[in-house]
Amino acid sequence: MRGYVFQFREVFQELPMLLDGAVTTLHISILTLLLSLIVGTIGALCRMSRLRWVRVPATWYVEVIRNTPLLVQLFFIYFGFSQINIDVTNYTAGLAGLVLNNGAYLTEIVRAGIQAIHKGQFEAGYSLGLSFPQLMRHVVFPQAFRVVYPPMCNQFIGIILWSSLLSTISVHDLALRGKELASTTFRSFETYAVVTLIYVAMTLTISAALKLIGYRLFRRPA
Amino acid sequence: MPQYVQDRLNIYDAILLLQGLGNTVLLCVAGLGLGLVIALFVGLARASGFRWLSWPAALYIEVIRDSPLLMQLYLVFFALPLMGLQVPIFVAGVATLMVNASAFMAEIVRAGIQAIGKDQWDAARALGMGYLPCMRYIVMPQAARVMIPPGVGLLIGLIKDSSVVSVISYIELTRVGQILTEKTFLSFQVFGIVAALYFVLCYPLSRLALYVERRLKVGG
Repeated sequence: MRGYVFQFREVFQELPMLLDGAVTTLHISILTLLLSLIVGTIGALCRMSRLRWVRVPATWYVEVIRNTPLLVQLFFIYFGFSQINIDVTNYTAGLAGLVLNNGAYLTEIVRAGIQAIHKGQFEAGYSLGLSFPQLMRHVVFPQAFRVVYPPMCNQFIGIILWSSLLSTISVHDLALRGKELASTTFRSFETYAVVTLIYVAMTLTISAALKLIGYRLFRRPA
Repeated sequence: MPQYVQDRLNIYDAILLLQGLGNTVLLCVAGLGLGLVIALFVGLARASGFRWLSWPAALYIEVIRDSPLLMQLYLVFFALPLMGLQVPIFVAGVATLMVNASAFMAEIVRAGIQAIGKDQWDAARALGMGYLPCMRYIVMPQAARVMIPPGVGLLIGLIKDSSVVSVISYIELTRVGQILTEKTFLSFQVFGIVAALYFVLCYPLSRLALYVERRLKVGG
């Protein structure tokens, strides 16, 4: 079909709708990151626990999630819940899948951050009479955050990109809006090209912003 | 009334699952194999000192790394017919995975090449070797050792990423899971088995990556 003419006008007319989907994508991604950080921190503490019945299930959780695809995890949660007749919205199932998936990766990231801290810090904290929660809050996490920050930002970019899979469960994010637009205008290539550019623009802007924030937060050399 | 919904999974479903597994492996092997070839060139270009080579390579790598795989898949799937190529779905899937893997692998290649100290290049120059002989006999063999652990990690990622190809209805493992779920409505069991099969593919590779990394670190 050599006579194909690229028609971008129809796509650019619907740009507000696409950007609305982009806002949904960002919204889901930020929520996922916050919840995954909580899951990851708990998971990291479990992974480093001396109690075997805590450490081993946490390790299995991380290994299973890291060695299975996100799409299969999403389908497992979404279709599985309808099998046992529990009513979850696509949005909830998608969010749960993303949080579960990224929680495992963040577990490893947070664990690396905590293990990067010198043992002397823990000893000093205990000798000052700090309890475990106080030690974590005032000594460990502020220092661990510096180590955690770069991989966490990378993970956040990954969340934004992989949240596009939520379109397969009909969550109205940027990817699904693109698919809808492609099917109404029949300009598939132009639509997906524009959607891809929006993703790239989002990703580059956010990663540049996060890098700047990193420089401001961690001005003092480590 | 004939039963249209199956009660349980039978041997034919198991055969379908194994076929899906085989198709997934085929997709990944083809994608990684071709992707490695491209990644070699792109990585060399990225690591070279010539700006007219390294900047286009950097652009290629950044755009692919910063866009979702699903979008890349749709682009390839819809662009190929426009260019006049009526290709089977398998080719579209392999092309997408090949392009995606090549970008990530190119970064690994670049890091591997740049990990080799300048003194190796100086020694080669002193022996009268130009760029190509030095690359072939001195730098690449050493760089290859550094590239293996992240390369295995990339393969694991590729196996997981291949599940996305199911959206264009290529009958790989995830698609088989969807088909069986539509047939039997036993989502937990079906996707549980599918996840277990992916785990069986990926987990040994991740242990291998750890082992190789440990061996290479000790070897020096």
